[in-house]
Amino acid sequence: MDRRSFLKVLAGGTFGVAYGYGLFPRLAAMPAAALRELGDDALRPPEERWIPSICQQCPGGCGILVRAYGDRAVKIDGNPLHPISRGRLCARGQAALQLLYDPDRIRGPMVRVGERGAGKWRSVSWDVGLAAVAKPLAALRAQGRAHFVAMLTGPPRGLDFMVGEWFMESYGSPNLIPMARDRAAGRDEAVALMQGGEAGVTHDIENATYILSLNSGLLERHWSAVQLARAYGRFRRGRSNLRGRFVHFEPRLSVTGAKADEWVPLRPGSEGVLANGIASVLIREGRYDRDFVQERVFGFEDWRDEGGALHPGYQTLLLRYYPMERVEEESGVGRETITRIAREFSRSAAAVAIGPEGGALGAAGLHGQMAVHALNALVGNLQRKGGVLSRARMPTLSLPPVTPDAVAARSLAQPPINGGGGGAVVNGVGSAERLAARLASADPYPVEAVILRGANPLFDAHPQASFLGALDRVGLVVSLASFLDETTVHADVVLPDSTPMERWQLDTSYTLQGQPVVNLGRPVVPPTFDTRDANETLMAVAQRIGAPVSDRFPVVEPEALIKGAVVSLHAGGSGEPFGAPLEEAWTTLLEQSGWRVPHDEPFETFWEGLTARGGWWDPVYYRYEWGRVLATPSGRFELRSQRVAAWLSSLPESGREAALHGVAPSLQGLGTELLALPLAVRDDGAGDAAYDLEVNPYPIPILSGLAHTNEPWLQDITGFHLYRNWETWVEIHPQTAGERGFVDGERVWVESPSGRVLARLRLFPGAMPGVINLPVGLGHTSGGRCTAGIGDAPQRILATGVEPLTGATVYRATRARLLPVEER
Amino acid sequence: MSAPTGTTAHRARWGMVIDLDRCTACQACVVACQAENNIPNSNPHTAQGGRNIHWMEMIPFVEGEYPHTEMRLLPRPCMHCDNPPCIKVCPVGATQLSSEGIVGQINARCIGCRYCTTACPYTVKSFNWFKPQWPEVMERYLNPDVSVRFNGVVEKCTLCHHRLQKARDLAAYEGRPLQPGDYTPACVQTCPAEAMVFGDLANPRSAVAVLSRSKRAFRLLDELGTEPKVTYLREGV
Repeated sequence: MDRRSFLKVLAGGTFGVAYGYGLFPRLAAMPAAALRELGDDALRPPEERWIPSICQQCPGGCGILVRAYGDRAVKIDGNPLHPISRGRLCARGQAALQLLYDPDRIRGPMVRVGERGAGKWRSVSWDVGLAAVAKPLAALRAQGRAHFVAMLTGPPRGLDFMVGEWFMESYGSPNLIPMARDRAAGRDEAVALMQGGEAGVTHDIENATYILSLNSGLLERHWSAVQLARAYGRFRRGRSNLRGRFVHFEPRLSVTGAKADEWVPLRPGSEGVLANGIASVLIREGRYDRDFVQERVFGFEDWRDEGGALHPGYQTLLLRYYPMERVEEESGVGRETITRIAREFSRSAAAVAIGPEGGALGAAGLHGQMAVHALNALVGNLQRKGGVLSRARMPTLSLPPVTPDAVAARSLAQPPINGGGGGAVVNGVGSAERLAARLASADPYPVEAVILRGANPLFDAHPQASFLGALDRVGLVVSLASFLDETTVHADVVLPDSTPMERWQLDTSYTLQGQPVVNLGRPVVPPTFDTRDANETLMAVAQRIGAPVSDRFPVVEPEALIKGAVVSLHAGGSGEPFGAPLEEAWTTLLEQSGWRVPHDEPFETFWEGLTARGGWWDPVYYRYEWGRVLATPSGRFELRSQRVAAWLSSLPESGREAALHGVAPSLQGLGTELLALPLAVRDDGAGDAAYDLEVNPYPIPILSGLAHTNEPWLQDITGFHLYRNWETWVEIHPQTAGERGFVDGERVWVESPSGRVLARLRLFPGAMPGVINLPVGLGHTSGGRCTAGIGDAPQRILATGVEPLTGATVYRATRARLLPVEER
Repeated sequence: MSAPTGTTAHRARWGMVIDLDRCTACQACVVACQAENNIPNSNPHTAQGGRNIHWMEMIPFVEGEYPHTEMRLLPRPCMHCDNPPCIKVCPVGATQLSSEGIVGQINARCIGCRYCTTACPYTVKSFNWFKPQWPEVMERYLNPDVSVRFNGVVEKCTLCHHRLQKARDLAAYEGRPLQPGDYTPACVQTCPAEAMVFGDLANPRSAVAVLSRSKRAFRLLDELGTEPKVTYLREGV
């Protein structure tokens, strides 16, 4: 027996236990005579299996095992072999059963009757439904207007996006538009500016000794909650004689703040200013990693251009523009605290700084995120154990290449409807607001048909009304959603997708150690209703459009499709199907000693391993590939971003001034070249004095990352820290409420210049005086009995603006006031 | 030293340790418990009346004044007391302490007097005010191993003892004693932070017994003499 098959037996053993659970005990527990009497079929309980699949509640990428009892799914747990979930699962993952068996799901194809958005539907057969889509699409193509079709999708990853690309290329439209589900906090863009590359970074929490969290929401809204929790547990208790220290800054006492060793209240939107304050202490006291800065960092010192003019570097920016008085005043944190924490941060063996996490709604901004990330460079923790790790390259998964026919080629050559409009960085994800403007103005051409798949812009766009108006101009709106979300309500034809556990899936993610993971899921149960895998729906549409589209985008079984897509994974030779931790350690050891022969087993064996274990990953991570880690123009960590500098110099003087105004309205008159540096400012949103309180919106942890919230298990625990659920609440400091005559438990209006929301007032001593803490995630108007009409959506009262560096619409600091609902 | 198949070598004493220093208050345990034990769904109506049922619940304790406010978050299952106040008040013997230390609830015996819900200092017992109902298709996820309770009876955390029965059966079928790890409640199994440890307190070398002797260990309302078998490990060094 060789090593590989020996290890397989080991891993197989783990699964054997999982699979055997359930069936035999029932038989064993029965008296033999009773067994004989009942006969074979009568006593046989439904077959019970644990089937590997992927959790799609959030983008975290956890592998799951679903307990299938006959044709029912009755429990979900983590897949023990999966490198992200490691046999564990979070609350949202557990609640995916309520997504699968949601009684308010779309039960079959429907076409609209009556007004758009009136919610009146007629159930139709798949034939009728598919024809209602294929006919107009075929007609548009025949008129040479294939580019008048746009498809709005979820994030650009995994099989569903690849099939979307394949369909759109075969059909002939350049308008495949991935939509941002939540307004990204700007961290990925900040990292892209400072380190280059697009894959992003992770934080090695498990091995860190000190976490400096600047409103990160680390324990509440991390992009991959299960592996984060595991890493956090080990950060605290996983090492003998070493317990990591955790300091957290946030305007309110959140769960993350409660779990930190020290919670320091921070005024909303001042993360970047505080980071620069901490950095200036490090520089003034010489507490930064000089070797790293000298070797790997660009833009620290001032520099002279060819003409001899002196330009400020990072050091000068901090010392000149971030005096302690300003940092103290804007952040609300005392200088003793700032100095003490800066010293702690620099002294700790493996310290890491983390800015606002995914889904953050605060006004830290891209420059604020740059300021936080700069701290990591100052202590030189890049690629170090317990520091910032750059994600390794994701191997290519591929579908057959398409050679568009002449008609498609002409349309594909058209500019994409959502193209352009970016700044120094374009994050690759479509902005609903920009799209709304383009749809409304029919610029550069009108859009006649929109296909929705995994996007719900009517809930996510801001303001929602503008997108609705734009959608009204589109002749045909097709939705492939599983649920009747806000946008699907406005569709003309609905061809419902099956939910994740009912279909084949292929998706990608990363571990916190930066290793790439490819997840594979097969159907656990047959479709509950008359729904179809949306990939198959697109293929059926192509069939009805006919040749040459159907030749280029033929009908392929989902399993065969995935099998084809992972051929390149097998051929690439690196990584392996998930295995026991022992196997992982062995692979890493061999490869890093130069001994490992890339996998040589036949493809079928590889495929079997993949489906039985739930996916593939590459456990071997190379830390010091600096060319990959620092893929900037300078090949260094850019404190002064050359991409921003180049973009600035391409603008006219007025454009540069406008950009500066967009970032720092309070700092006019500075040199615009400071925009290439982490020029963080706090925007306090001050305007009309009637709106006397600052708004601090925060995502509800239990709903963060979720697209579908019609899940009573989760709705029941949204505001557990205040015993609030099933409605929107607002956390106010007792003094702030008392001064305005409000009492605990009463309903109030929170009103900003852009609108108002209804909320239940809770007095909370963890709230900063003068701040309204508003939870975000409720307030859907459609989607089922446990989400429609539950709570209010505070997004719509938040101020927005355009982030000059990305061109995306982002939330800005907002002021509001409290108004009584009941007469006094 | 061969133990009878399907049991432990000695009489087990099942207990749990919850390390608050690892816990992230993510509430995975709360939802895993709802899913495993067919607990009725809540809705705005039951929520407003305080009649939601949770066998496992995240309890917040907010203390202190701004800016020195602190919040402690405790996942709270049934404590499975060795000296449970609830069984003393039950007039019909519907709640009992098993020989292995699990405080069980025999729903068919319960007359709904709710003395036990009042007697329990940890408020872990819930009364079924409503007939349990699941909308069409939602009932498909119900766990076939756990019976649904009717209205008018009290229910509580059973330490997923149906899992113990299954684990025993499986071990007996395989002709071996019950081993550590064969039996794990749903909350412990899912805990992403690895903050919950479950096992046999009677085995002094088991992980749960070792941890429950930690100097960080404390038990909720221990001073009442309830002798809880759930031990918390406090945060901090």
